[in-house]
Amino acid sequence: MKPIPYRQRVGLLALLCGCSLFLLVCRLTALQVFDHEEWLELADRLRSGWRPVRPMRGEIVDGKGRVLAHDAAGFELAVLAMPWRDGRFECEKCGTEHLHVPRRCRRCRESGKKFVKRADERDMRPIAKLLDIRVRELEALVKKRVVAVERHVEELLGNLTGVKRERQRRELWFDHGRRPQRIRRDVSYEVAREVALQRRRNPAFVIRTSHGRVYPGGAVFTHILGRLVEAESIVVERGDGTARKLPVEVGRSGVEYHFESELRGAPGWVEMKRDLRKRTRTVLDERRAEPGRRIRLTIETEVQERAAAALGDVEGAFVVVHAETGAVLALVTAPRYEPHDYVGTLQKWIARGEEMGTQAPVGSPIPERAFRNYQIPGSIMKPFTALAALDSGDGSFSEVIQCEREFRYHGIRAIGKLRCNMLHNELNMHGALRISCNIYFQTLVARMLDKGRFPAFVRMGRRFGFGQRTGIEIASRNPDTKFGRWDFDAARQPGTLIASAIGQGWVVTSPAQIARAYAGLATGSLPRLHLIARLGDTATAPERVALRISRDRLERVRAALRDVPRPGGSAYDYAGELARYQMACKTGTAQRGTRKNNAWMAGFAPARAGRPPIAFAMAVLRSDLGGGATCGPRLVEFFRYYYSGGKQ
Amino acid sequence: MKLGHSLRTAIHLPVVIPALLLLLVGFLALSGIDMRVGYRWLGDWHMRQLTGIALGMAAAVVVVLVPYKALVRNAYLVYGAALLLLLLVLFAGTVRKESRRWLSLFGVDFQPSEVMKLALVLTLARFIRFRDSYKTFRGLGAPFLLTLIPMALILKQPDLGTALLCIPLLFTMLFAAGARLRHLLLIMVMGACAIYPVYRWGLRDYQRSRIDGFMAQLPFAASDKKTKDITGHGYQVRQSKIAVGSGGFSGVGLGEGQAAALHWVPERHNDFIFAVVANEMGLLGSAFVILLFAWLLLAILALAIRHRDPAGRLICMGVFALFGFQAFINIAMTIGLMPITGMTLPFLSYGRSSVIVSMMAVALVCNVAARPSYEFGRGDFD
Repeated sequence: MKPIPYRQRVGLLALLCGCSLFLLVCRLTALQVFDHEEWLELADRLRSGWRPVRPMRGEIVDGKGRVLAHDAAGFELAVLAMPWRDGRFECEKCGTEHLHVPRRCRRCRESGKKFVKRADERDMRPIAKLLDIRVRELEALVKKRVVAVERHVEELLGNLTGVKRERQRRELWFDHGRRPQRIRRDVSYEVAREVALQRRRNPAFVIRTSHGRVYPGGAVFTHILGRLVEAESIVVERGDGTARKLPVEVGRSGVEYHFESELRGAPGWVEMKRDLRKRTRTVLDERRAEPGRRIRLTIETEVQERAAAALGDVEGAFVVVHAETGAVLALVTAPRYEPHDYVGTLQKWIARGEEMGTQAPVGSPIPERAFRNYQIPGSIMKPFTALAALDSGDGSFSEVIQCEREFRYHGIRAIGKLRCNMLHNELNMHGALRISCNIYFQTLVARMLDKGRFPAFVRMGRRFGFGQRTGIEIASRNPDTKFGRWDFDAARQPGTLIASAIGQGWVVTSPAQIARAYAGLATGSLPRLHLIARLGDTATAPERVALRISRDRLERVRAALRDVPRPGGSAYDYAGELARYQMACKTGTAQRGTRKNNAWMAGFAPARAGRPPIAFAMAVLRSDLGGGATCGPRLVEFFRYYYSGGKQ
Repeated sequence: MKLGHSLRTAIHLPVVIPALLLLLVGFLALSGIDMRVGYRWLGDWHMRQLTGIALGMAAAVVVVLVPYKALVRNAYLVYGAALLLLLLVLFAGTVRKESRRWLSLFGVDFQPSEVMKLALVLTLARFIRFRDSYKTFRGLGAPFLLTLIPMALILKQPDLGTALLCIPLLFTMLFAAGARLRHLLLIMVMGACAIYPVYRWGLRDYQRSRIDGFMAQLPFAASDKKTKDITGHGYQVRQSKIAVGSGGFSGVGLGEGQAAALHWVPERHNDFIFAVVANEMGLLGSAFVILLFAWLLLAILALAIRHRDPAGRLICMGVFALFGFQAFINIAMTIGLMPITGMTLPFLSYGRSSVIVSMMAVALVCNVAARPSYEFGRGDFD
């Protein structure tokens, strides 16, 4: 091959150069002239986008319109599963990272021993101190989050193997490990500030602003309002075939759970022009998010708080209802927990309590004991036994029965619970109710049993709502739920049935059921209890079921109960003051088989001092004393406030 | 007086004018990189670029004043110093974006690999100018060795773009010097055979994914790859193409690119500065830039033909190859004709090292132009 002369070689290079540059111009012409519209549209699409807008969850307010739950911006504490990059050295002065210890910092030009290796462990102690929890609790919580991230990464890796898996795992871990995992919501500004200041020394913990649910009502409303948990994202569709995921929180218990669909609202979307940092520059189009509906409860915060204060720190519940409409005026349970404390052991405890219900461990703050925790009621069942006997014809107000302290059924002496504490001698029904004689009512039920008229007792209990749903909206959505025990059958031993007549034995009931039954006793018709006064714009209509019991009969039972807090009555020593309010009540002490009692007191009072007619029930579990001694002083304290118009 | 005269005679206008115009265009384009919307005259970027231009001017004056023959005579020394700097980078270099390419000198960072480009031009010119050995296949070993050593060090940083630029530089100089075309073609075929093994085992993940991204946006790529490409490394090419294409015929206007599509173009001050030009000045602006490059390159080639000294010719050819390939590769990758290699556009891209070295290269050509030689080369250099 003949060598190409120099000039030709350079000419060839010039030709190559010209062709290359011509190719570039051609390509540019194609992009900028012929395909310009297409690229312009893509550029427009880059700048515009849409995102779903979270709806404001509906407010929950009390009977007077005071806010009990609302959405608000706040802070939350989160942990990073992988907060640092291995082997980085950080300038102490300006925080710039270096791969190796440099002679000088490349930003602030500092030299010398000013470079520290980034913390390779999470420092739990200061954070635990800030949150006021134990270090071990925080460690467990962080570990749980880290394990969750690890599991998620493993899931994403799927069936990858070998080097590819390792490489992918490293990338995924780097990505997901640096996403903050929430460990506590609604932390105070002070805590948020401290954590933020410690960020450099303790990079694992970060503070994020959050759109959170705030419960100003505090612990006394927790069991009613319930709580939220993070759920799967919901898909928001815009109508043009595009969809986005929107992470939402859903109710886990209480009103938040049972009225989830009403409270959540409908998400909206906003289409906007934005810049590289995803900041919105111009809003192009939007569909406003519809806020959830506002829920107004029947409960008044002050009454609820005073009722909670009256009940105190014991394990129990206190329910006050409007005797005519069934509106719940106070629904207190104890022990309680703060709505924002979802950390560590307490969180587990609450969740376990929610699952276990009545089987929850002693002292555990399960959501409520007022309408879901069923206990042996004791003597507060006696008015219903009396009405059943009157209904079946096995008893009358004038009949006098001799109380010999011991009860014999067909010559067999009953022991334990079926005895009276003292010798009552001769008593009529009025007196038996007033001093709560066990022998009198056991005699009536024994008579009904012998004559095969025990079903009259069962029917009477059903009329007063035992074993049935009270109507409280947040009790249960499960149709199979049993509401206490009122399912007597022939297989039961006579002793058990007789014991049931005085609220021992087989019967278990909740304070809400008792309050409802006493409301029926007070008014002659059984109201459906309700917590929700107004759902959005719709007011809850009261419902009542007539008891079909003669007015005279009911009035005579009421008269007997009105004598209970009076001199000679079983509650006089502890709750004599209640007589001032024309209050009719009944004490009850249910032995639990141990030396501890379920102390009860229930009753009703007419309208007075601007207050509506009420019915109430208080239960204190595992008490050392009887119903009167335990509940009497508490009720006096509460009603003193209640009827003073809030002045005391 | 003598210095002023030397400088005046050294200004070779056919080369200097397009170079200065390119610098001006680059300077204007910097307004399109500010994150804030609106035209910002003399922002931070401009001031830093001005510093680079001033330093480049100073360096160019030094290069112009020293006769190029003296530079060629001492080329091995320059080469050795540049190699030393490349070695130094590996141990004491500054790391940015997972690459160790910069050395800090008196508070100013610079890239030794940029210096090496000029040193390689001088060294190859020194080596080739009076030899015939490269006309045999075996004789090509020495110039290849001279090129591969700095290439290996640059690849170690890693800086694939600069390293790859050494190959066309060597080929152009050898071809101009009269190396046999068949030898060069054979080496190119051998290189082509090594493409797949290098892609499979010789590249880093991000380099491989850049090639994948480029392949994914080709018309014959599978549609699922195209979709995947948006979030991968093909993202850069796509955003760049959107910026270029949406510029249209006359562009969106100086400083208006931020409000248009430039927000999404990565490295728009540096590797993708041409996207800024194309977006803000449209086809008119981008064609003007290409025209300026064509002017510059053809002026250098004209000088290479006119000049009689082999070393001068080889320097011109080397600078031609540097500018030509660098500009072509950069613009081609910006408009999606080539995979992304991380290469700056001479004169336009922001970066002091790049600007200074580009101006020194122009000064070198001016140096050659200012000193006509009557020496005659042998053989093909007749």
